[in-house]
Amino acid sequence: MIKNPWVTFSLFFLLATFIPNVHKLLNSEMYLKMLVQIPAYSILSFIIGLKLRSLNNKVILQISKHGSSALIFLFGSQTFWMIPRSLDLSVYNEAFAILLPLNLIGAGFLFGIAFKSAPFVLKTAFSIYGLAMFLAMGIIYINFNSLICAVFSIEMQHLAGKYILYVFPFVFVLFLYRLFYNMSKLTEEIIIQ
Amino acid sequence: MKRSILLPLTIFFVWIGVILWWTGGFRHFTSYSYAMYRAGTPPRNMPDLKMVDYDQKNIDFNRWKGKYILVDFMYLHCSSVCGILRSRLYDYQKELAPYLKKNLVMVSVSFDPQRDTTTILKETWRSLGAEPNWIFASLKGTNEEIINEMYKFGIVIIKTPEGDFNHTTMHYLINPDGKLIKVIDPSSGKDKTLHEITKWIQ
Repeated sequence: MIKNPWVTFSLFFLLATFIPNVHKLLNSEMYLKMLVQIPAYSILSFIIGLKLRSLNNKVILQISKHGSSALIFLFGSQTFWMIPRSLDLSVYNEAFAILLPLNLIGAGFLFGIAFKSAPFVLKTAFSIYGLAMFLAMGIIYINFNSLICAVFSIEMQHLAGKYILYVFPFVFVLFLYRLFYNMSKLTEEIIIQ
Repeated sequence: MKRSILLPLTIFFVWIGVILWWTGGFRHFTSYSYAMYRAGTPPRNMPDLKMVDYDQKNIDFNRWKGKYILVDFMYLHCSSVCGILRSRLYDYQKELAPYLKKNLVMVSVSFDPQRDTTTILKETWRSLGAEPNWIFASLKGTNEEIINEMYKFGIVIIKTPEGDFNHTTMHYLINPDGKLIKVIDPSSGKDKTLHEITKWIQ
């Protein structure tokens, strides 16, 4: 399974985030934390989970049936770590610095395994909500002149907001592509039936 | 069908519960706001803070019992907001002059005693007009002790890798009985802040 290039790539970059200097760099800038570290934990572990789905293992087969639960767990985890206080603690508190990657990697991994069994409507609804929150975050960070996260400076906050707004269109286009692709697949299945 | 929605619904409500608890009822999302919420709404007792003033005298807030005390927590090496707040306090000092003669004391407390020595505090006090009822003092203790003590009071102080501090920037009004009665947000503007102060001390 490690020979799978996606798994190798994901594992490599996931482990790279734990190298002390890399970890310190990712925690030093707000935009790196929000746009690189946190998404990396979820997305890379999701890819690993997605590829591991095909393993003939009892536990994995059991997990793969709970798509909705895994999706809600992932969404709840992401929401928790987007709270400014949680973000602060993940930078200066050792226990939370360990909890963040454990939680997000675990959630991403579980969702990767159970992805196919999550209902299309639920995935779409959470994606739309997630996109809206992402955009709102960017707008708030760029416009607020009060410090939201205590561990970063106001300049870092504005910069993070700016970069979020730069990244948002790409994420939105990707979402639209996947949405229309999945809808066309669903339509084909309905026609075939 | 029932079984298939039970687990996702349970996880959903567990997360709602966790976030509800974590944010003090969806009201306190930032570290600053949560620290103030945990410290409790005024009126509340002041913690027993040990300080050294610019004359190197050991002091605490009991020294000014019988008077209103307007407190702000800052550090003099701040490269951002503390200087702005200090110049605002300098402006307030003029407006509050009648009260400073009667029943009000202003106390600016540094939480960075390692760098804000009594000499530097005194120089700063002189540069701001040497008002006898505007005291500059620094907290006693190590950085860690001070940060923990301040958190119990509702003030967040986080040291950045560059050696600066990100911290809560509020004014605290203590009544003549030594109780904290008002937390004032200076970002609401000079007039509003002054009004908040004077409506209590008149």
